[in-house]
Amino acid sequence: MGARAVYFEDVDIGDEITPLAFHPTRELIAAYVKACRITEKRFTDEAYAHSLGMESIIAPGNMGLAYLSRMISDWAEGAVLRKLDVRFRGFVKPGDHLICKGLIVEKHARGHENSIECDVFIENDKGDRPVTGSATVVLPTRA
Amino acid sequence: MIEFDRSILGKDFVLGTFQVTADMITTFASAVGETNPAYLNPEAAKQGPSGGLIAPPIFYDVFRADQVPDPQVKFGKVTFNAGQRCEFHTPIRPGDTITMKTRITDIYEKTGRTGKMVFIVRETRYENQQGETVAVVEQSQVRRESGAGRE
Amino acid sequence: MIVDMHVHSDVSDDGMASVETYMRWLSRLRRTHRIDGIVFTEHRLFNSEADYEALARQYDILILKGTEADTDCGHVLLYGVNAKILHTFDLKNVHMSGRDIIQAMEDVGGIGVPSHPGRRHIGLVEHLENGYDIGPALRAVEQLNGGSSQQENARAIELVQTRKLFGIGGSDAHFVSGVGKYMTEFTRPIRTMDDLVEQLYTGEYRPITLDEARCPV
Repeated sequence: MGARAVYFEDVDIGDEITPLAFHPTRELIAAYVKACRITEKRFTDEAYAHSLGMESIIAPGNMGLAYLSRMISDWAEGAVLRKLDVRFRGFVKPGDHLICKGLIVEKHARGHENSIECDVFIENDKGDRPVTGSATVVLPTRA
Repeated sequence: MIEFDRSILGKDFVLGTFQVTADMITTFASAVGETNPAYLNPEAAKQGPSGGLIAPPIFYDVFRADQVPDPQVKFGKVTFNAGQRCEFHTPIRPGDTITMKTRITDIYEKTGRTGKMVFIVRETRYENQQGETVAVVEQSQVRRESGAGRE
Repeated sequence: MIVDMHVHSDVSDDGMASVETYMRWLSRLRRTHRIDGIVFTEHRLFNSEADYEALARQYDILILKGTEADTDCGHVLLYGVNAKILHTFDLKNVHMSGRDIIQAMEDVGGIGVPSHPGRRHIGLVEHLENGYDIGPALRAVEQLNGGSSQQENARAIELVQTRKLFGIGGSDAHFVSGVGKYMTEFTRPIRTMDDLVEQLYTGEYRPITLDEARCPV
């Protein structure tokens, strides 16, 4: 599986989350669209996408969020995503070579739920970030 | 002044109720390449901290309404998703019945690299059959003149 | 004195972090880099009620409040917003006159500094090229902006040179780890917004990168 236990006490501000590659092929986009029963055509119909002024079909925004969420669960067994805030600043297109990244920027020791705040990004191979955001993740504490 | 149907602002709409099956959960999880057995394998999930199969956080995206309240903003030719703020509470499990409620909370103007934009902010609440909030998703949609370029 | 002149907290519609979260991040960053102050320039509003004095004392850093306004000649950073400005201008109005607000800021003892002037549509350069009359009050622009591309910053630098303007640096951070990317190095200490505005009119400052703010080893 790959995820290992990551405890609240063991992480520091400035630590990076294990990055996750995100290469949205047409097939992966189609699989996401099918799993979510999306009927909006900009994700599947090239001609329709062009009619909106786009270069090609795009991946749904929530697909990017699903990969950011997966980045967290792949990184840390027992991690619980509590909040995910993002802005979409550019399109994610089929054939893009992207990477999901996260950086711990804050720790909150609250007793019942110890959490970290992370700046999260989806970045392309030119360093542009079509998706930028912040995640709050609850981590287990050592008993 | 942005022209739109002001009567819709702040009004609550119930968009529908949806049954959750294990198959829906594992199909969604597989589609995004999840490897966490809590999302994929009911037997393994039972042994783990979740005590059974649970849906990944973004699973709310499978709930789709036929009709959503439309503020009829008189600007722009195309709508895009500008961003989201999501909160995740109780996990969703097979057998849950999820009710989806939404309201439009704000409409405002802004300028960006591609010109004038009008934002429509919509808050959607997902509740299970026990009345527990499973997720709240505040989505900002942006109306623009065209789909070319980036913000 | 080194100040990040352009930062957005979660008070801005697209900001991701609270002021306190920025402070915690900065206290780490300041172990290796000189950063003495930060101005929260929120989109299309002035956060009158917020009082950051206690946080500023706790973290031993200058925290000031400004605005990033949308205008008819691009976005403009407002330093020294007061009740008169708030009474005269609706900061949510994205069609307000950039020329008028820059003049009005000067009149009340503040200053309006066009942000990311090299960007399409929301930067001053394009509007000037289309014949926009910015008026006599323009003194400084944001020469280096952390959210702009190299070409966009290059256009800003060219504007500074051809119009002989002063230039500031700002990160335009919307999330914590973006803070400090570009900043402004002033020659004299700044304790208040009045001090900042006074110095902005003198031109005795320059935009710098985070790397230039690194503490000597």
